[in-house]
Amino acid sequence: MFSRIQFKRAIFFRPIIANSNHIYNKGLRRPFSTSLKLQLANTTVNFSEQQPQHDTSQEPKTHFGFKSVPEGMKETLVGQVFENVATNYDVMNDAMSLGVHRLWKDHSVRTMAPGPGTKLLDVAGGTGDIAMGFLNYCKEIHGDTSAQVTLLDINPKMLEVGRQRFAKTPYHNTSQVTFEIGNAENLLSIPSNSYDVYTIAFGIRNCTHIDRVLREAFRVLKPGGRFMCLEFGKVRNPLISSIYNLYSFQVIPIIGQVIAADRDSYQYLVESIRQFPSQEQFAEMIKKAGFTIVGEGWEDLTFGIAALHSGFKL
Amino acid sequence: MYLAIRRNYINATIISFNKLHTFSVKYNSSLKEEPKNYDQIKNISLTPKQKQLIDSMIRIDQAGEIGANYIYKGQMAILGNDKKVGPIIQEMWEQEKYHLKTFDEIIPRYRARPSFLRPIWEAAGFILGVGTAMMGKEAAMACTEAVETVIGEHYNDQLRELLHIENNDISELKKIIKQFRDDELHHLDTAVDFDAKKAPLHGPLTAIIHNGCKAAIWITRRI
Amino acid sequence: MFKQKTACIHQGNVIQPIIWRNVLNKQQNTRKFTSAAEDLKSENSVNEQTHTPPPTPPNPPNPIPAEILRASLPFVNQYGWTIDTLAQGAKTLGYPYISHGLFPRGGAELIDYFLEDCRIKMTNEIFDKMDGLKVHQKIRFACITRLNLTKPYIKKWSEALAIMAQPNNIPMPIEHLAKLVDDMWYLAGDKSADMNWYSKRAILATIYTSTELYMTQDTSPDYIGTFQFLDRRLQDSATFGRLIGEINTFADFAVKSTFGILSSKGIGRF
Repeated sequence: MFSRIQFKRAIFFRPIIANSNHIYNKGLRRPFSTSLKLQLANTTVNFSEQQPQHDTSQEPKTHFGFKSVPEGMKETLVGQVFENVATNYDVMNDAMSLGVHRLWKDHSVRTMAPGPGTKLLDVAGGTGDIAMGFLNYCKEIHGDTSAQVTLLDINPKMLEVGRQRFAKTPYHNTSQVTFEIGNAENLLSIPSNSYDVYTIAFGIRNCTHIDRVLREAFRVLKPGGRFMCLEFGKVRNPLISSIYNLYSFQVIPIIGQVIAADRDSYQYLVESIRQFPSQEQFAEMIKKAGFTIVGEGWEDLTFGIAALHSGFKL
Repeated sequence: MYLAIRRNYINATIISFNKLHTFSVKYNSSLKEEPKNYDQIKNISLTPKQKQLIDSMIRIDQAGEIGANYIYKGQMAILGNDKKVGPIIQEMWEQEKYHLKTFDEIIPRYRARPSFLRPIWEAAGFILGVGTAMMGKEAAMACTEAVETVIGEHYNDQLRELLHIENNDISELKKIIKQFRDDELHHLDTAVDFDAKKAPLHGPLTAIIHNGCKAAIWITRRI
Repeated sequence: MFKQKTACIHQGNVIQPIIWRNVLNKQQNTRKFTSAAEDLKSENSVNEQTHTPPPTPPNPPNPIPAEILRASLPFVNQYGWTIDTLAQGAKTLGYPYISHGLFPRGGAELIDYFLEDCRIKMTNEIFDKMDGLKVHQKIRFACITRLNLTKPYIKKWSEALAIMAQPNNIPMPIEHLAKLVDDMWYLAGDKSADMNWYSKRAILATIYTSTELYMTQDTSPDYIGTFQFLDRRLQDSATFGRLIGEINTFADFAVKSTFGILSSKGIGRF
């Protein structure tokens, strides 16, 4: 079930979960949430009924946190994670990163430096931080109200939260922001060569097939368009790395439990960060998708805890 | 023993005669004519890394020749009157002068940058020459031996690196470096023939000079 | 916030310097803008298998960034050396505003391109016109040619100087100035290989930069004032050079006579 490394990680990082009824120990036989009420309310997917017609043991496996799951299931599992966290997403972001995520997102919008009339596709935009920052930037710097953003997310709950946030802004009911449900790996509703900028902030590590996401990004961008990906990265500095690991695995799940009553979703989140490729590997993947990168292709933020990747369709 | 000394002397005379012949030929030879078209130099198809390599190579070589020149100058200042080693040092000095003159012509041709620390190399060479000459003839020869060993090895390394580069202008440079390497190794043999190994403190002296030369090479590569 | 580099990025993916220089100089090795289509095996790439294939010739660099920079220059007088200019240039070629992101340093990259472009234009213009001129006339001709290339942008040149003076941008103009004066002296036929090499270039660098600075506030018709300023500076340096030469001769004489005296006393042979 566990590989050796996963076993070691499980022992070191997750002493409290070991005895619980949690899915990590039951081998996916239970739905993901720990709360029984939420289980019944949110379970649109019942695993026992949906024992697939095909044999999942032959399907290629991918990682879900430190666990290995069949590829077809990852999307569903991630969906359930985000359904659980949607309502507290912004609060938790602030609590976990101590507000630094706002700086990261602000920095990425400033680096983007959009001009008047720019069209942005914010994928996995969820609660709309980047979209909001983008529209505010255009308004404040250029006095422009023709910039447009399409907020796309696979999870209706997250999109709903985003809609509610935007309802309180002057952009509500304007053509500047539109909301769409869609899968980043397959943007059926988006025509090719239609957007100036494509951003995906802290979303790409949750996708099952990163290369498909990159290919779709390449397709929908106009020539000269920019792909930007804000994502967690690997920390090189050993001292910072040890503090960061300690904080991630000991503190964050507890914050999740205290604020959102959902420790396991945040456990998944911090584990998925470790499973994501390093900055260099991801830059290589961006290049493989056809993008032209400038310099190394990424910029480390806060010692590499986050990284801003960028590529151009030329 | 007398016969050995006499044999050495005869060998030295033969060698010097040969050298006189060969470097008179060299004095008549000249570098290839400078191309008139600016682009011919500009568009040498070298990678920037190769260009940098050649730039630093030429700089180090010129600095080496300056050092050697001034070492011989210093040695001649003290030992010039000596009947045994005076003429041989003079002859080696003449060859080094020719080497330096060649590099002074190569630098503008290949758009290389000369070493900024030239006055230091001049002074250091002179002091080394005078110092070792004051320690005696053998010490002077030991100094020559050590310096020529380092320079000979260095030319060898450069030739090895230049082997990878295919270019007409660079082949010219390769030929020159090869020739000079042979000259320097010949100086090395001459110095050994003239009792370099019998110098007092031969080991420490050689070690110091080796390390000094290598440090100078390291510095000149950059400055 | 610092970047770490690992071997896998260095192999085959050369990183600096700026790609458009390669387009200008027709050199084809280093590039800043890379994509999978342009990947090449570097000479130093380590192959996991025992067989190391010979180095493949490098793919030509992506020409689009250089084109955008070239297209941006006409907008400099209107927008200055900013990302707006770059965006306008991109727009003329049909790329969106956001393409200015290809140049992370913004206006400084445009200035970088401009300086390189001017240097190459200057050398190509004058290299065959130097026959029959004396050295100082050649230098004057080279300086004037180069100054004429800055003329169209002189209104915004002080802004460029301010951008160049920013600490993170300082190495760039210094490198360009060094290459410029080296080219000027090479075309003037300089054959020095000792400390003169440095002193000549340093003097010409100061003359050129002071003249360019003068030009930014010169209001005389056709910049006659600038050229007169240049002539005065060149004359000063000639006088200075003669003075140095005279001092050198004197010092040489003093040293030689000292050695002569010493050897007449039997101390050493000089």
